[in-house]
Parts: sequence; C-alpha cells; structure tokens
Amino acid sequence: MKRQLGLIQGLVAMILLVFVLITGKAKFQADILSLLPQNIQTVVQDAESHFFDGNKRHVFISFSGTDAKLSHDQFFSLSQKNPWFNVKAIELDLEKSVQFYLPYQGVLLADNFLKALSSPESYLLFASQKLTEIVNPFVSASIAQDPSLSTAEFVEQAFAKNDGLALEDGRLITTSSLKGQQQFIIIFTIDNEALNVNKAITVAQEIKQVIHQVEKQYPESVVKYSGVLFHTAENSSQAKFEMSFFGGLSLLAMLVMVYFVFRSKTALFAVILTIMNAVIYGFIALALLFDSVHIISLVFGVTLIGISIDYCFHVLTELHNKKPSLTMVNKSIFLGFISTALGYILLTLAPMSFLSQVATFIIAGLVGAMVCVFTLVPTISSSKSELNNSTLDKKLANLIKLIKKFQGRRVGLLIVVSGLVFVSYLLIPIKFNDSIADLNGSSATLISNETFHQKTLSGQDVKRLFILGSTIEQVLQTEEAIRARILALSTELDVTPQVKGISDWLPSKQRQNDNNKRLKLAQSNDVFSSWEEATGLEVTINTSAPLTYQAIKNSVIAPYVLPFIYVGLNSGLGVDKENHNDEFVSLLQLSNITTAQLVSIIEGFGGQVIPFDKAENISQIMNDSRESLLYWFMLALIMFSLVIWIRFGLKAACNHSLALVLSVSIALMLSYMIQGPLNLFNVLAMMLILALAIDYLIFYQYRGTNKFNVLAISLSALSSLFVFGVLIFSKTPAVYSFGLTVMLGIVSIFILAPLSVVNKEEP
Amino acid sequence: MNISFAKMASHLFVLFYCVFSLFSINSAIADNTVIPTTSADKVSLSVEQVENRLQINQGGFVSQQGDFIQRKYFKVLKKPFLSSGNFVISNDEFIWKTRKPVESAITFNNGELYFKDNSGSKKAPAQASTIAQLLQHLIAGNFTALTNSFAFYDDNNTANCVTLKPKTSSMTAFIEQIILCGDKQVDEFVLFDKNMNRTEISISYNKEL
Repeated sequence: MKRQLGLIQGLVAMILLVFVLITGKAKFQADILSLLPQNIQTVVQDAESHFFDGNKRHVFISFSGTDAKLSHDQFFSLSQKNPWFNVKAIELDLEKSVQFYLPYQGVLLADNFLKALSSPESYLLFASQKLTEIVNPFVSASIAQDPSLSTAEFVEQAFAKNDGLALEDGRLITTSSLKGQQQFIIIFTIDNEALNVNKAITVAQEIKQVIHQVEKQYPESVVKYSGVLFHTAENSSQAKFEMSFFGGLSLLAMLVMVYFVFRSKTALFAVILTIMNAVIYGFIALALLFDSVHIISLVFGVTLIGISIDYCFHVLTELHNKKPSLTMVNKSIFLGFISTALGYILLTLAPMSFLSQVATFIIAGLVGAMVCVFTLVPTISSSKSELNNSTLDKKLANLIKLIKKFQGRRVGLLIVVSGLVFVSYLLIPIKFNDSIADLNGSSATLISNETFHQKTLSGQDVKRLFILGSTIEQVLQTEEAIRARILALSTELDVTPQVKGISDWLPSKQRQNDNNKRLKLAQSNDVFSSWEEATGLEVTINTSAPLTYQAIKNSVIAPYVLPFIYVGLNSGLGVDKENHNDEFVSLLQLSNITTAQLVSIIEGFGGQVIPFDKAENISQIMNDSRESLLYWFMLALIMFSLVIWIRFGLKAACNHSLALVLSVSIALMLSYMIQGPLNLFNVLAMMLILALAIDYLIFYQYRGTNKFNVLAISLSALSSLFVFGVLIFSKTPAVYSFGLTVMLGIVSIFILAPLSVVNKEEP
Repeated sequence: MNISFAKMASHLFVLFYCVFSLFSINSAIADNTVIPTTSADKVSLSVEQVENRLQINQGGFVSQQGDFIQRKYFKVLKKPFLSSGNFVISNDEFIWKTRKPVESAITFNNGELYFKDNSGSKKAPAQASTIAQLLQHLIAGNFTALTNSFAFYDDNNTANCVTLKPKTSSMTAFIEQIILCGDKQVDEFVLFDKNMNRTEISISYNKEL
C-alpha cells in the first residue's frame, strides 16, 4: 500500500514536472534589482518604474586614454554587426524646439534673463553677449519673432541642463573631463530578452569580446563597461556555478557518507530518491506559484538537500534497528517538519520577495521528502539487518560516551558556556551593517566601472527627489519652491548646485503669470530701449496663453520632458481633465548637494517631497527587517518553549530555550568575529538554526541518546554542515553570511542539544 | 485734377523704382555680397586638394595669436552686429577672447572647456564645446580633423576659398555651411546657420608664438 502510494505520488510529481517544463511555466531571472523591496506607496512605486525601468536596458561603454577616440570608433564599427547593438541616432532638432516655444514668449523666462531685466545696461550686456556668440542656434531661430531673446535663452538653458553629455563629431563626449582627458561614451539599449539569464551571459560575453579586441588594438585606451546586463550576467553565471558546484559537492560528500555508514546500495538509492522527490516537489511549487524564479532563490534552496536527507537518515537508521519503530520516527519527522516549515515561513516576513521563493521551495521540498520517507524508503530499505560497521560502531560508542559524560556535568558546562557567551557580548558588542551590496555578487571591476560612469554622467553628490501632487501645477510649484531654496543656498557654496527637472521645460502657471508681469514692468521701465536703439529691433511683450503639460506631451520636446513626470490618472477622465484623485510625481535631480544640505532644502514639505535613494532606502528597509526579525525570533522561541513546557515540563522548556539561545548567540558572535559587521542574512540564518535546532531537540527528547538516534542526528548535522558549509565559499555576501552563521549554529546546537535533554521519554 | 491713367502709372512706376532702389542699396549695405554656394556650384575636394588650393599645410602649423573681427548678419538686423577680440591657438590650447562690445572668453585646453562671460558666469553655452573645437580646427587649417564632420567643395567664386558642408547631425543642427578663405593661412571664414543668417570672421595674425 505504502509503495503504491509512493509510486503514485512519484508519477504525479513527474507528470507535473513535465507539464511545467513543456508549458514553459518555469522561468528564471537573475536581475539583482528584482530582489529589492518594493516601495509601500503604490504611486511612488509606479513612478519609480516609470523613471528608472528603462535604464535597466541601457549599456554604457566609456573610452578614455590617449587613443580614446580611435577605440570608440573601433568599438562602434565592430559592434554594428551584432544584433544587440542598437544605438539610437541622437536627433537634436533645436529649430523645432525653439519654434514650439515661440508662441509662449512673454511667459517663459530663464534665470539669466530675469537677472538681466534689472536695468537697461545689464539687459544690453546680456543681449549683446548672446549676439557675440559665434553661432547660437537658439538666437538665430528666434530673434526674428522674439527680439527680446527670452525664448532663445529659455530653450538654451533647458537644453544646457539636459545631461552631462555633448555630441561632438557624431560621438557622445562627457562635458566633464577626468584629469584633462576627454571621455567618449557609447550608450545603447538592449532588448528585454537580453536580460534573461542565459541570454544575458551570452550578450555580456560578446560585448566583452569586442572590448577585448579594441583594447588589444589600442592598448593605451581604457575601456569601461557597466549596466544591469553585466550584473545579471555575472550574478547568474556565479549563481549557476555555485548551484552546480555547491550542490554537487555537498551531494557527493553526503553520498560518500551514506555509503560509509550504511554500506548498502539501497540506502544510497533511498537517499537519492528522497532528495530527488524533494527537489521535484520544490521546483513544481516554485514554477506554479511564481511568475519567474530568481536564480539566487535556488542558491539558497540548495539547503533543501541538507534538510530533506535528515528525514531519510532517521528512517534508515531506525530500519536498521532490531525492533524498528517507524511510528515514533514518523511522529518526530512530522513534528520536525512543522517546526522547520514554521521557521521558513518566518523568512517570508523579510521584505525581499525571493525569500518567499526560498521558503516555498524548502517547504514544498520537505513535503516531498516526507512523503518519500513515509512511503517509498521503508519499502526499498526494509533489510532489517543491523548496521555492520565496526569503525562506525566504535566512533558512535565514543560519541555517546562523550555525550553522557557531558550530560553528567551539564549544569557546570551550561553555566561556563553561558558565562563565556555573556562576557564575550559585553566585551565585543556586535555591530550591524545592512547594505544592498550584500545581495550583489558582481565583480569589483564592474562595481567600480558603475560608480565611475555614474559620476561622469550625473556629477558628484547626485540626489533625487520625488515631488508628489494631485495636480501638475502643484508639482511644478513645489519644484520651483525647492529651486528657490537651492538658489539661496548656492550663494554660500563653492560649487554651484545643478538642478534638473520638468520645471526646466515647463514653468508653473503661477510662475508664467509672474514672468509676464516682470516683462511688462521691464518694458514700462524702458529696460529694452538701449537694445532696441543698438539693433533697430522692437521688443513687444504679449500676454500669451500659458504653456501647459497637455501642449508639451505630444510636442517635439516631449522626449526631454516626459521622463521627468509620472502621471497616475485615477479618474479615467484623461490628463486633460485632472481631478482630485489623480496623482502626479515628478523627478527632480540635484547634483553637488550634500545629504545635510538636502535635509534643510526639503524641510517643511512633508510627504510632498520624498528623497529617493534606492540604495539607502533598501539598506534602511533591510535594517528595519533585521530588527523586526529579531522580535519574531523571540516570539518563535517563546512559542517553542511553551510547547515544550506543555509537552515535557518547565525544566525541559528552560533547558531547550537556553540551548537555543546559546547556540544562536555563539553562532552570531563567531560570525561577527570572522565576518565583521553582521547583516540581515546572519539574522535570517538564526531562524533556520532555530528550525534545525528544534528538530535535534525534539529527536533527543523523544528518542534519547540511543545509538540510532545519535547516529541519525550526527548524520543530519554532518549533512547540514556539508550543505551550509559550502555556502561560505559563495561570492555573494548574503549567501556567505547565511551559510557561515547556519554552519556555526549547527555545530553549537549539535554540542548543546544533548545537554538540554531532561526527563527523556524512552521509546 | 485730371491725371491720365498712363501718367499715373508712370508716376507709380518711378515711385516703385525709387523705393526698390533704396531698399536694394540698404540691403546691399546691410548685407555683404557673400552668398552661400548652391549644390549646383559644388565640386567635391579632398583634404589634399583643399590644402593645395589654400596652400595650407597643417603639418607645418605653428602656434599663432592674433585678432579677429566678427560681423553677424541677421536678416532682421539693419546693420551687422560687430564684435572683436583676440585669440591664441596651439596644438593643445585654444583661447578665443571677445573684447568688444562685451567681454567673454572660451578656453579649450587639452579637450577641456572653460568659459567666462561679462557677468562672471562660468556656465558655457550648450554648443560652446563643439564651436570651440570647430574654430580651433578652422583657424589651424586642420582639414584632416574637419573631414570627420565636413565635406569640402570647390568655391567657384574665389580661387582661395573652399566651402565646407556639415555631414554629421551635431553640425547640421546649427551650421548650414562654411566658406573658408586663406592664402598660406586662414584669413577669413563665413558661417551660415540653418536660418541662413551668417557670421563673418576676419583674422589678422600678430606674430608666431
């Protein structure tokens, strides 16, 4: 009956596996940004996607050094035959842009123009300056219709702020140079498909090959690359390697261990079958429940092998008992599963979505392992012959002797260990440092290239603000109020702060109205008279209809403006009919502003102005999650203690709780000593230690220090050590931290668990 | 008064003729006789042909300094807008200082652009970098560098002049064509913008640096 059930579940699992593979439901991704927590405010989240999602597909290649220009051209020429190379020709239609703004002369004034209106002399100087410029396309295109040059200056200022790049001889160059050297930049956009795990690796490789060719031909040039593509490629290659290497290595170590202990092929087969069943269950659950599976979830998921094999060990060792009692073992396994599953469910409390995937994979996998060990394993390994391994028997006897010796001195030992842990925490206070970088296993070269490109393109100390409002007018007025504060601040600074946003292209209606009044006042004060005399031109000031967002959104300048505004229409009336349910978010980019200055600039705006720093936000969320996880750990510990108290009494509850707290404390302290400041992933490891430790405690409590129980627990601990131990070789800091703390925790609980057992129930 | 139709017509003709003549004279005063070449006039030239034609060999370029006079002819201006100043040019530096009517300076040093206007503003105009480099190449007669952005044509009107037509979008955005004239060194060039306004720059050299 059991065998039939086991075979049926296996068959169903195989059918489901084939189904998810054939229907393509199993999709993988390695985009590091998708791991990040989402903002709670929907409108801010949508605005964030609007402003930054397009950037994910950009690839940046920069060229510097003596042969910068030649290497730029060579890269361009070599890349053109590749399908991923998609450079949009930059068409700067200044003429059309000026023509678009000309009907609004009289309401649009740039800062410099406003300053020039102070007197006829300053205006004459300003206008003469414009005309002495050898070529000024803005003046040339507008002077006939707008002799005041206000339109020319407004459009010129808007374009000047457009970005840190200029076009020179068809090449993009950075307007800021590094150590007197000109930087050439190529920016191209890859397809969304190219960010898929396998495709990303291939495309990144091809790009690097072209760079290698260029560097070989021009050794004096320095070529740097950056973009999400490279992070995806590096992280997915790394994850693939780690999954296959770590998974393979720990599996091999465990199989060797199984063969060494049981000396039987059926035991090996049982172990392999349990792991396979577990992995298939986990994989099917992931494929069915999630749109796409993050590859880093699978790296963490390697731990399934270590936990699922434990169940098999308990059944296998019991089956080799003279009087096997599988009911007791199954009861222990089930209780262990519940506790482990609860531990993993706690992982989903963390803000990172991939942890839900890890929890799903492990819990479903453990169900698979449990079904397998309850049905198939007893039928294929029912030899009922005692273990015949004298070396193992000898070692096991020594271990039990040692455990019993420790148990005899448990009070003294627990006091000493507790004292040591307490003193160590007093002397070495643990520090925490959560950072987005923990999730990134990318190479130092790529991270440094990215920092370099960010500085080159956006300048130093770049800060971003989200301006929220229920109308565009409200958003624009807030932007202008912030600009005014920055302008006031800039008089005290050595480096002029730069501001970039939608209000460069579209002033608020209030501002436009003020501008018109300023112009009319200037005209009545004869500010333009000297200029008119010098040139014979006649400046007339009209009161034109104000420029609106509706006019801009389908115009020639829309590509410059729309990236800075997110329109969330909730009324369904369309953007022409704004109502109070609509939400508008603009992006204001500031540079040369320190964090302290930013705090004073946005003071008093409340929720209307949100500083946007993805890395900082994530670090903060990770920090908050870590703190909340500590509370959840305490709660889980209390709940576990209550269960033990009810089931085994107060003394057992106190002893078990102490063992758990000590194990976790030792694991954290040793991790801190080895790793340095701890992070969220060390704390997440605590939850897993708790889940695994409960297993050991329950098994010791139920089955005591009998030979088969000690053997099963020792094998479990060893297998977990293999699985979690290899994670410390991971290049992803999060995986390393997690593996290190779990490994140290397992060693601690393996030693402390038998010391905490009291009033043991003999089977 | 009974004036015949023929007489009235002849008076109107004379009046129209006078007005037209005055307008033409005014235009001629305001507008110089330099006109842009049309496509029909064009005969393509190589860098070597341009160098031979103007007897300029960029290989023999030495650092120069001198003065310039700039005349800006806008269709809406009754008379050209004059400005003047001086310049310094070498292989790795270019300084273009306008002295009158307002002071400003563009310095292009090792690929880095510095700008200063009469108000002390250091914010360079959007196109300053491209223009500074263009001027540097034009005055130095560096046709090899210019060939990346321009095609050269024979100017049928004058033996010592060539026409440069931009071939990259960064140049066509604000330059329609350039007529460059010189004999052994660049003496004058005329830039026509997209609106066919033109800027004439006459150069006089002081001495070799």
